Formats: sequence, structure tokens, C-alpha cells
Amino acid sequence: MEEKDIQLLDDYFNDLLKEADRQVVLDRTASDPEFAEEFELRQQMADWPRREAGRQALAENLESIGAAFFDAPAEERQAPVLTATVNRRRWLMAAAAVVLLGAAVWFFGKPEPSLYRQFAQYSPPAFTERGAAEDAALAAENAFNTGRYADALSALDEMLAIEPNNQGATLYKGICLLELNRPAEARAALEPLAQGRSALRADAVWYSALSYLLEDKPGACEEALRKLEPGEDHYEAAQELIKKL
Amino acid sequence: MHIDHHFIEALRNNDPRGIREIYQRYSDQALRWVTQRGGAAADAKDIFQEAVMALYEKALDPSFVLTCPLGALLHVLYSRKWIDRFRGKNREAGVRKENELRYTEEAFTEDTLTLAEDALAEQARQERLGKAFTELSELCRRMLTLLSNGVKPAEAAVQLELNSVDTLYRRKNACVQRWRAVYLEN
Repeated sequence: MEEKDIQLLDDYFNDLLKEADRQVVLDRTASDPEFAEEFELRQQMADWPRREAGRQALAENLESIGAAFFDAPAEERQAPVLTATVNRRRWLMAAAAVVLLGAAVWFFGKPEPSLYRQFAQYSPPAFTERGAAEDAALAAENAFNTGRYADALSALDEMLAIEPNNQGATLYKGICLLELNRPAEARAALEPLAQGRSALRADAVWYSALSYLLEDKPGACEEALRKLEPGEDHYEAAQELIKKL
Repeated sequence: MHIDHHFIEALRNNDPRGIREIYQRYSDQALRWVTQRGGAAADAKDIFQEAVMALYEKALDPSFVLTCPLGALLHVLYSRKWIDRFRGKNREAGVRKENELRYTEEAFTEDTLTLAEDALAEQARQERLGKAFTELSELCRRMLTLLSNGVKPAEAAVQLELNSVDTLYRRKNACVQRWRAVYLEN
């Protein structure tokens, strides 16, 4: 590769060429294989940093979703996709905490005083998994299932000290804080998940939105609910809730 | 376009629903394949994930259209990933497994095999680029990342505390040449 070609490609990828000169470069890639190979490499280099962020986000999602399928017993791997049930062994999937829309709709007709209580219907968690945090996970599961949210929160904090990147534990920590009527802290706990691109993003956005109901801030709740997009978990429930606000 | 192409869109968009469906449909097949060959569930999980990541490299090409069943393509990808593991640990076992794989791959179409080879080659190239990128200076990495993400050169120059856009371009060109040299050395 001659120096003038290197300079030409520098100018092309720095967007310093006029349109006609850009076209000359593109035309040359069709007639000069060596130049075309260099052009393609430079294009890959220009794209690589931007695409790397996407790779990392996808890898995180695959890690999270894959654990639920490959670590679970065979009979549980057969569970249908995208149902509202939660697999006892699928810690991360369980943590998705799918709201049962039907249950929510049933609640609409009841004289419930609190919108938060109507909509905050989560599945029982299944925290038990192999690993260093097993004891804490079991304690968190038992405490949560019996409504002892302060104890569950302590156990979850213990889990997160061992596994700080455990997204499921983070999600349930947020839910415990909601149940303990500590909405601002719940939002702070859920924020990284809600801002991220993991499989639990929609859950985190949903529970963050519900936290505003505890503070009687319907406007903030609606604004947060509108971050859920069609097709995401909780989207339909969010639309129902917006109508009620 | 094959009917499974919507999975390519799911990968492009990092859509958790679509990705879960990929796992739901094909992870059991991978798990069985690996465990029948003496591997553990953790091995199956790793190579399946690597196979999906290889497919993602193809999906990043906006003109890429899936023309074969996704299950077949994933099978070729994860089985080759599995062989690579053996090749790294034990050459003789690797050759034996490779011969076995060649036999089983006769069932797949040329299209599937070509797509798999393209995906693996692209993944290897991106990994080489990534490895070379980590050897650049922090300034180079920050500058190239800002510009790749669409930050205007003038804004990037300010963020990087460079005197002018001309300085930014000179530094950038030097960084690119360094990156290219390290990449081609590896």
C-alpha cells in the first residue's frame, strides 16, 4: 500500500473528501482487489469500537438467558417461552418476576385502595442455586415468600456482596424496598437494570414506575411507564395502569 | 429469505424475547450433542453462546439474509467450536473429532456450511481487531471510540483536550496505523 493511498483512505474515513472524490474511492474498491481489502479493513476498524458495545450487551444477555436453559434440569427446560410462570430453578428467569396481567385485570374490579397494590403482583422468587451464595439465596427465597421483606433484603444484600453482578438479586432487592415502603431507594437499586439492556430491563422499568405510586406521583409514574415499548414484558399492564392514573 | 430470518433481527436488536426463543428452540439440541460427546452442561452453554456470537457477526452486516434453517447453522457453528476446544487441548483427539464432524456435516447444505465458515472467519477477525485495539494507548482507544460512536471531531477534540481538529486527525491517523500494524502482526 503506497503512502498516497494510505493518505487517501485517511481522508475518506475522516470524511474530508468531496462527494466526487469519495465516489472515486468506492469505484476503485471494485477494480483494485488490494485497495478493496485495505478499504474493508479500515471500514471494520472504523466500526469496531461502536459495535463492541453491542457485542458486550449481547454477551451479557446471552449469559443471563443461557444460564436459565443450560443450568436447569431437563424437565424445566421444556417450559414454554414467554409464559407468566417462573421456573423454580431458574434463578434469573424467576427474577424476571412477570406480572400476571390476568390477575391484575381481576383486581381492577375490586375496591383496592392502592394502585400500587393492584399492580405490584410478582411471582414468588426461586433464589436457590448452586454456588457460594447458596445459603443467602435460600434465606432470601424463604423470607420473601413469607413476606419478611426486611429479612429478604438483608439476605439479598449478602448475596450481592458475593455476586455483585447478580441482576436477579438486584431486581428483587428493588421489590423488597418497595414492599418496605422505601420507593426512592428502590428506584436507586433498580436504576442500573432499568438503564441497561439486559433481559430484566423491562421488569426494572416497571417496578421503578410503580415506586412513584407509593409517593402519590402519578405523573412521574406515567412518564416512567412510557419507557416500556410494545412487545416488552409489562407493556400491556402499563397501558392499563396509565388509564387508571 | 428463510422463515427463521426473524431471529437474525432479534440478534441485531439484542431483543431478549427473540433470544430466549433461540435458546428455547435450540439449546436442548446443543446440550444433548455436547453431553453425548463427554462434555458438561457448562461446556454446552459456552459453545452455544460462542456460536450465537459468531452468528451475530454475520447479523451486523445489514445486507445479510438468512437462507438456511437457523438450527442447522447453529449446529455447525457449535460443533466446530467444540472441535476447536479439542484441537487446543489434544491434537490427536482434535483430528479424530474433526473427521467425525466432517462425516456428520455431510447432512448439511453447502449454503449452511458456507454461512457457518463466513461467520466463524468474521468472528475470528473481529477478535483479532479487538486484541490489537487493547494494545493501543488510552488516548487512541478513547479517540477512536468517540469517533466511532458518531461524536463530531470538534467535540472529540474538546473532550480529549487536543488543540484543534487538525491535531485530532493527525493523532487519529497515527492511532489507526498503529492499530493496523498490530493487527497484521498477530
